[in-house]
Amino acid sequence: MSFLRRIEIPIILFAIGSLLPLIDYYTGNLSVQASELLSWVVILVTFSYLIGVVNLFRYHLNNIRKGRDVYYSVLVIGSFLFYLAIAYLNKSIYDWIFSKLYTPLSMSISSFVGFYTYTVFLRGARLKSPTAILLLIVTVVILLYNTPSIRALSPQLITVGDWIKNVPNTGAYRGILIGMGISMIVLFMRAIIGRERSYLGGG
Amino acid sequence: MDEVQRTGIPLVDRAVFMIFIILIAIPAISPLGLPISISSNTVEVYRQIEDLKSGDIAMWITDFSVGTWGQVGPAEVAIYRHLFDLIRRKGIKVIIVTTYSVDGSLNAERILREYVDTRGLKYGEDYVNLGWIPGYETTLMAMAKDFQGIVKTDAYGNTIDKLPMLRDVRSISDIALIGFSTSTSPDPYPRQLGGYGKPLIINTLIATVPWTLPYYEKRLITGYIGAESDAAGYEKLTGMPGEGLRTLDAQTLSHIYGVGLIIIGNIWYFTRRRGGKG
Repeated sequence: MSFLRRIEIPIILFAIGSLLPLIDYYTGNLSVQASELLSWVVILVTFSYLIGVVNLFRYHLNNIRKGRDVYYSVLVIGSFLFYLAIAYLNKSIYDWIFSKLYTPLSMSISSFVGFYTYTVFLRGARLKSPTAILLLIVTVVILLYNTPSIRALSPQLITVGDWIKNVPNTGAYRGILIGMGISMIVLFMRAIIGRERSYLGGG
Repeated sequence: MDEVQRTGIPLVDRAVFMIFIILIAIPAISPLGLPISISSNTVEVYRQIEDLKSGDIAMWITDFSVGTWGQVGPAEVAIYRHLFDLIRRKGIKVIIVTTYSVDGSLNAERILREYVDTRGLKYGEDYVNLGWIPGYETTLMAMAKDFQGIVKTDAYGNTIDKLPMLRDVRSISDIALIGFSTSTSPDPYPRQLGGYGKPLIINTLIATVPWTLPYYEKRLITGYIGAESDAAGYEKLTGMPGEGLRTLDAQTLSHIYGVGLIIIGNIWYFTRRRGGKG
């Protein structure tokens, strides 16, 4: 039993799991094994959602048992069971809940960010320094550039907006992407040789 | 008790919110009919989809979350309508699939149910909905290399052998055009689907567009649509008006309002500073 608890086992599993698709990608060999492995991932991800459901129930049933936020927990479990049941019992109600309740509510929550952006425009966007001035000029140009009606009236705005988008903006993002790519390679190499163990939960 | 303590929101902020709500409500009550300029990237996407030929298979990956429907949904609807119009006009075939989360498949179902006219089309021969295949980037990679190995059934439980249009789809080389919508990172799609010489189109949030541009520059992504403004342009190109054109006036007013707030905020700041309060 102590053998199964050894840290080397998950590291070896990680190395095999990640090297198989890599070898397949670069050499074309082991394609059957790599393909099989990829279908395992789909199965594993599906099971991870089951773990999520179990955790959801454990957490909220525990809350109810201890009398902590009982109403919220009952609401969460009740909503979950109701929506699960309705998916099988009445498809039209299920669709209605998604289109008319879930979608507008989700959009409302996302829209909060939009509202607070406007207060930032009023309170935070100050011409205090040369960099702030530059940032604000770009903000105004891009705001107007992304407004089709304004763009229709001012072709010069398209030229300036395109330049900002395609030159400084793309350049900066290119740098970020290259940095991310190199970091991923380094992280992968460290994980393969067992130097990176945070994904094992050990920190 | 002052205003902030009572409501948690300062009075000025509440005024900003109220004016914003009024501004976006005006065009909903009485459309202003403001002019529209169609961006070159929208025309490019339209052209790539329109150029599909009879028998070509287009695969559209609907991966955006429900909360971002306002930005991504209108263009997604416009593109679905265009693709389904092409099924009728040219005889193309369409695969719809989700890889990121269940939200995407629910969005796809909603679009098929409420926005797209599928009357007269044969499911399984003209189009299929594969639903959500969990795994995200892994699924994208698997679909590109061994489609039949990863896709076993569609969203409704039909096995792949009962869907004639999928019988000959073995890998990405059998697909003529790939598109995807996302409200998170665009990175996995060009990483897994971008190196095959196929058109790869993205429909995403306006804030994600800059993220896609390095890929677009290298043609790993061949076209992009960013939020409602491009959706409105796309609707105009297809001649099928929808939410994009309907919200165009509100979007214009809200952007002008944003610029106005920046100007007012700075006038306020410099006036207070000159008076020794800033």
